[in-house]
Amino acid sequence: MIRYLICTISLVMFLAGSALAADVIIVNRNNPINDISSAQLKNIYNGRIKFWDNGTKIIPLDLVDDNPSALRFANVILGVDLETKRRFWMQKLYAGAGTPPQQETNYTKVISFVAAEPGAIGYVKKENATSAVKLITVNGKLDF
Amino acid sequence: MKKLFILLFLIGMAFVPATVMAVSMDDFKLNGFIDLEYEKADGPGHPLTPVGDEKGSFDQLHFNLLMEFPVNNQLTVKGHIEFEHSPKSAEGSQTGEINVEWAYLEYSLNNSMMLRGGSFLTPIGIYNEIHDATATYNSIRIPWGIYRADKIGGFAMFPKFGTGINFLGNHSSDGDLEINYSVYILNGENTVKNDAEKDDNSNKAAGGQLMLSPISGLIIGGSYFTGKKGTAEDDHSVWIGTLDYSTNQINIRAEYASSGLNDTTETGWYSELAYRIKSVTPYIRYGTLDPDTDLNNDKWTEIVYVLNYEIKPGFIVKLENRHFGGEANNSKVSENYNELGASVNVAF
Repeated sequence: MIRYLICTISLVMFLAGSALAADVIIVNRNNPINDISSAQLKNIYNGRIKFWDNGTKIIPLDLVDDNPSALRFANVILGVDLETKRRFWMQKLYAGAGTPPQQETNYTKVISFVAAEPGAIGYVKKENATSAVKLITVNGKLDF
Repeated sequence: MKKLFILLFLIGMAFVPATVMAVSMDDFKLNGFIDLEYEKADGPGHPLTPVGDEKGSFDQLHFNLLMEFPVNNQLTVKGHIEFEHSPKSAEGSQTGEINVEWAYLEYSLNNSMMLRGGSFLTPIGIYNEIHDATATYNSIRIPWGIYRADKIGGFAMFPKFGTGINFLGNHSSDGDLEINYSVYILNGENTVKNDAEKDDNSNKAAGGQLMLSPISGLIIGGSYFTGKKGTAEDDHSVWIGTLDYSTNQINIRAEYASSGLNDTTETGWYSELAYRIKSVTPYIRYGTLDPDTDLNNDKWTEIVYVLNYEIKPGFIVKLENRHFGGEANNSKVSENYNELGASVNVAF
């Protein structure tokens, strides 16, 4: 019985931990988009998609590498580790093929920027998202 | 076709709004890189005109500055100035080089298409557009068998720079497939005038590049260039096949090139393997050049071993051992020799 209880508590704590770790994609409140595919998101952050469907320039925002969400985003959405992501952008930058997304130091700065810029997109921890920005789903799911 | 290309560019530029206003410096981006090298050879490589540095020398190879100025959402001005070998200018003499690597305006038509006009590095193979940016690749030197054939007994397979119009872009599907393309028309290779100002002949050079990524990490592609060189209007063309596969740790790459200058054909290829373990990347490359496929005993080969250590992001130290093989009929490298190289590279 005690073993069962410990297992149940551990499972609940694990699930709660996972939920707390979840990140969400945010855009400006005036952006008409509600859902984005993971491939589109990857292409935005790889510099391959530059404009929203309405012609507004996309400004992707990244977080600094030591933020846990940055690693999660690189692993889950971009499918690479942070080092590979950095090297990818270094090659593009020095070939004149694009500049990497602006990196912010914390979630508050990402939210402020996205709230102010019509074309901005970013990612923050779910519990940090505020009503100043719009949450959109990725392949129909709110968090990743 | 070429006239149509020029017409399209002019139409594209007509959509660019007149911009006489000052652009906020907040949008101005400045990046660059610098590197210091040391190399020492154990032999001259050629008995009459040595190519190996037996004395051992420091070389302040690059100090490059890249600039980017977004004029509006569609139009960006880009520039890249290089100071190579710490150039000095005194009356009657000049050492080192100052180069405008690129200076162009870039107009994004939509997500898939961009138009460039100005001077730019020719989009050929993997390395040409990053050939100076040593921090972006594992070895100290790029594969000379394709990219610097003129230094090892052959002729330059293609012009490093060009002035003209470049139409480029990409297409992505919701799956893994990615396509990158680039087509261009240039003044071509000059032997007399500055090709960024005037053409030596009335024939424009043209070329293109297509890179396909059918699955994540794999790139298969090709590049082609053709033009008339200089006032003599020599026929010059090259094609390069590219294969690149990378994961977070491994990079495997190979390229093959064949270039023709009038009746002479030269071929070159290389293959390389890199395996990243945290900040350290051991790397090995084998490369070769046959400067004239009709001539025997003129081949050049290289085996390069590298230890690349990224101390901090953008701060890299490289140690390299290069073994060069030169056959008797090669005009630049006719003897085998070994060279040790070390470099410090900083990208900012």
